[in-house]
Amino acid sequence: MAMNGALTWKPDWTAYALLWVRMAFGSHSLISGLNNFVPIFALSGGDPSLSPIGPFMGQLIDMGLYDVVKAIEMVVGVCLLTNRFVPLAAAIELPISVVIAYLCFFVDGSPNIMFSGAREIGFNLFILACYADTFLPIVAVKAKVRPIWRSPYLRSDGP
Amino acid sequence: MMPHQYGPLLFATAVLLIVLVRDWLVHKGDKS
Repeated sequence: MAMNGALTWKPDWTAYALLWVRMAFGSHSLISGLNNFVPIFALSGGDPSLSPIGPFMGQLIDMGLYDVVKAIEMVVGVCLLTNRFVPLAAAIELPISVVIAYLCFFVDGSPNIMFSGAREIGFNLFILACYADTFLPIVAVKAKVRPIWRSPYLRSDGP
Repeated sequence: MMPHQYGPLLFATAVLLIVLVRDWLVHKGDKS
């Protein structure tokens, strides 16, 4: 019976949660990064210079590092939305997420900004946790050394 | 919250709902 089939449906809720987080984090990263180069919407959350984060952001922009961060966010956003290189994208985004979370929690501290920080680091850590097979091997006290420029990664001896 | 904050959350929810309904319909079709 169709109804019985519907009742016995046992979905993989983790996969759906990961899908939701990928879409939310990916679209936010892509739009946020894109907006830096092609203004799509105005940031109307008040004058950024009034926030304690303002001077740090100003320095990042002056050094040109803000553009680098936003470019990385765009690439990460595309990866997450298209479900390509997801563990790599999450790993690349992690340092940015940690800095954002630190600034939001310990430097600014306003509820709205703290929500952004919690969302950023929470989404990123959830994605990393979903790829335990990929990341648990790097948790090694004494890791084996095998450089990428040696066999079997790089074959210089020909076919 | 600003639009750029809740926009991605709404988008993700819409995608999730579409995929959930699609999977449920596929499952229902397989069982009947």
